[in-house]
Amino acid sequence: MMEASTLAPAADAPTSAAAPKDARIVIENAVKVYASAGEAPVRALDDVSIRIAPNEFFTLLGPSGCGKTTLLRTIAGFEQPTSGRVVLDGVDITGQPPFRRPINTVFQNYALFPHMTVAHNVAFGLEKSGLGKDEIAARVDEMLALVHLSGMHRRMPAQLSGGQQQRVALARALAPHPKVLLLDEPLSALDLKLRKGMQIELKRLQRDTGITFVFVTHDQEEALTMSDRIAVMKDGKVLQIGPPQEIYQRPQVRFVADFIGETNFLKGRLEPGGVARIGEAAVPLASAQGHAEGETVTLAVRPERVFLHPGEAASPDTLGATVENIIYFGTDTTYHLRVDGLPDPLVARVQNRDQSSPTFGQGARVRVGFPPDGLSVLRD
Amino acid sequence: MDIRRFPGTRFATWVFFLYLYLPIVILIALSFNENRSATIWTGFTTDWYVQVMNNGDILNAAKNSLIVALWATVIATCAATFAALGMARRRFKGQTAVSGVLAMPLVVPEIVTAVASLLFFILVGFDLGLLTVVVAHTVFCIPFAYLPIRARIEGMDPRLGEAAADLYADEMRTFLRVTLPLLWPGILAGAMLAFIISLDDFVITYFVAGAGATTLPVYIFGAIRIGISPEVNAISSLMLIVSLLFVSLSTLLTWWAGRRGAA
Repeated sequence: MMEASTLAPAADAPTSAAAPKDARIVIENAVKVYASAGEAPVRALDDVSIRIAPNEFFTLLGPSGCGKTTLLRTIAGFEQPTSGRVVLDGVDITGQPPFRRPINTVFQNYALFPHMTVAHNVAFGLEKSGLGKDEIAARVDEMLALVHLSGMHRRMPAQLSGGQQQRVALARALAPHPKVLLLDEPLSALDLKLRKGMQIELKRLQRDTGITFVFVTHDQEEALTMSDRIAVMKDGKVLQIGPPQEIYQRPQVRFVADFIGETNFLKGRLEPGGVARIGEAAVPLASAQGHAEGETVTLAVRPERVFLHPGEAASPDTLGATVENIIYFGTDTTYHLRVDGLPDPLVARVQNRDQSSPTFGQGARVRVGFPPDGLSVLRD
Repeated sequence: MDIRRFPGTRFATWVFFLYLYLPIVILIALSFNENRSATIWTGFTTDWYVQVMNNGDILNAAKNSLIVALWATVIATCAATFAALGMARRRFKGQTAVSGVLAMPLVVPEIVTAVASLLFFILVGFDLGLLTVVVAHTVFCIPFAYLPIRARIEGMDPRLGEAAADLYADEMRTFLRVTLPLLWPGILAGAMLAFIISLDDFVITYFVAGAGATTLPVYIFGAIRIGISPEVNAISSLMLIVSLLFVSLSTLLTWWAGRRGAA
């Protein structure tokens, strides 16, 4: 309601198109086709182009089978793209084997060497670095301290808990000071509490080391909390790239809006003056770029961006609705609404800040409003 | 339903084990029999073992057996290791067929292999001797060495090789530092199995061993034709002990590695 300034096209906001100028790693038009006899070939990567900046915490987010792990393995060098290039600091590394790339990986199941102690695991990547024995020992100490495992040098991996193995895998991959660290769903095997802790820990490690992190996950919350930028993938394609706020607030396609968080989808027709006709209301939009007037589009709005006003007092940019269901969460209350003239129910979430926060009873008549920048016009 | 509650299960089990091991127990007992007639017990003695140790022919046969078993084991285990690595590396066309061919010596009747080997050596013009025995033994030792090694590879996390490559190890280094150490228990188990199988073989050895290449089983066979003597019992008992030792060691290694490898 107070965000009138966002009515203008968001010029200062970070936009997905503005890729970083100096890129650490660039993926150019990567295509990976898996062909197996008797079956239709699978396009695991379908023309993927991404630029990742130095120091960035970049997340590949998508459901299983979306190609995010294939992309990670292509950067590591375990997979060769069918076509396209991988460029590191301006040098084409597409054909280089993994052991020549200054890129290290934290594997999903950690892949610690079971026959080596923790210290030997961490030192493994340093043995070919030309560092002396003492320097290697010092680096191992430093790395184990970094992941809070000091004094665990002589343990075998099998003697460690899952969380500790995870830390050893991190220390091992960070020890050679790689230019890029790849993380393949490293937190998925940990329980919830440990996972929350490691999320903060990973973010800290990334800031402290200044290494570019490329993180693969299917967990949208993980992606939102940790990333500088997120690429949402589906069926081998990148659907949208942007900072977490942008991915969450301004999804460009239905899948992105649906996959991340809770979303209401509304049908609307674009009218002159940057207005969408939703039911009987004419709602102003922050941006409808790339869409023609008169076009019928799908609009997405987050439940917490839906405003509820008591009573029937009509205004041209609101819709009448009836409260059908109330779910109380403590910090907020969720209302399921039947909106006049709309086929689908609408979900609104109201924060319970203090006593003055409005509450509505079941069957109450309310008016529903949308802030202009809370409505995203979706492609497709 | 608990099979242990079936009436007579305990009894049947005892009968079964007696059936399996009673002859061996009798053999060991009689190797300590004082009486020269092998079947009449008159008193305890270790003389036969002393005699075995002083018999030049037996010692020579034992030496031959060890030489053959050692060489056959080394060659077969190397071949089996590379075969197992090759088979695990990637799927290829005709892999099932190759797998079958590798295991073939396990199912081909020994006598067929024996006759075929003999025929082959004569055809090629090889003089029968220790060398021909080693060659023939290598052939049937390969599948025995192969199976435990393959099993070990199957149980290995393929990500470990990738992790090594990711940490700047080229293929050679990955093999030496990661694959081989992890495979080692399987290789040792396979080698011990091959060693025992070679030490134990009679049929093929009997066909392809030339003069002066008599191994222990062939010697025992020859000795028994003259008559069962307590001396033969003593050699057999000794061989049994060696075999048991190796098989136990092989099993122990596999078990120990399985415990250690489980991360």
